[in-house]
Amino acid sequence: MIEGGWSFVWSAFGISWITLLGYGLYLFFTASALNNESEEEQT
Amino acid sequence: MKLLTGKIIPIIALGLLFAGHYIGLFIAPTERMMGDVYRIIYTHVPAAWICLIAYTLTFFASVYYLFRNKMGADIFAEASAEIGVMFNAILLITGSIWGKPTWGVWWTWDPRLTTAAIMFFAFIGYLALRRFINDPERRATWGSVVAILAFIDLPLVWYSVKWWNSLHQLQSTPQTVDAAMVTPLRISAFAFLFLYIWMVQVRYQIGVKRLEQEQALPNPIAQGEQS
Repeated sequence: MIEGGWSFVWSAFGISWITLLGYGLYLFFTASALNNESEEEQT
Repeated sequence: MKLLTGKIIPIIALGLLFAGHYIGLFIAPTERMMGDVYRIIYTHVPAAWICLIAYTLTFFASVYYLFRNKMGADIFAEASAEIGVMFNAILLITGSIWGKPTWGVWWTWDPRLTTAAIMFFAFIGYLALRRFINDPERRATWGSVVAILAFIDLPLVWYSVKWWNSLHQLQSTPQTVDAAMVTPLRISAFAFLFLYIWMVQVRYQIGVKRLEQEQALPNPIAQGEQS
């Protein structure tokens, strides 16, 4: 059995969480900016 | 509907993600051969499944666009492909991290790894191509053709472990895996699925808004012809 290995596990999970969070924030802020632009055009 | 996709779906996704990963990391039993390293399965495998679903939906949306010429299908295809690439990146990185302690290398040109990397770069190419074409109709047509061509790699990824002598293990089934290990895997997969649904909905709205802005802009070629 491979002993230890938690550093690999945390690296894999950490990179997954950061990637999901990063892309989620990119979507959120891009969508917010586009919404604000279209609201400004309407007013 | 907007409330569902706007707030409830991401809340469900985050709840499932927390539950699935918590059980996978701290409650699921240790694997006999790989020890705790196997726990990477709880992010690696769901990423693989959702990546394949995202690309498959891109394929169907692209075929639909070519037959029906609906811009909505093209916007959806791009949205799904972009999210697929994101999950594909997670798949490749976590797979590489898992490979080091189990195989002794970060990367090897194994059929499964190679076809998964080709799939990643093929869809990166699809997204890059779309940036080079200004005309929405031409972009959608060429994009659809490239997406369909890129999709050819998907069956190769799935069957690579059966068709060729691969270092990567065969697909596990609930019959071959302990129930205590399957439950967090399923929860994590549903978490990623709900995240995909939320992301694709937001990305689709962004695509619609960008197309509206593009169509509102004056066409420089037409202006040049008039003057």
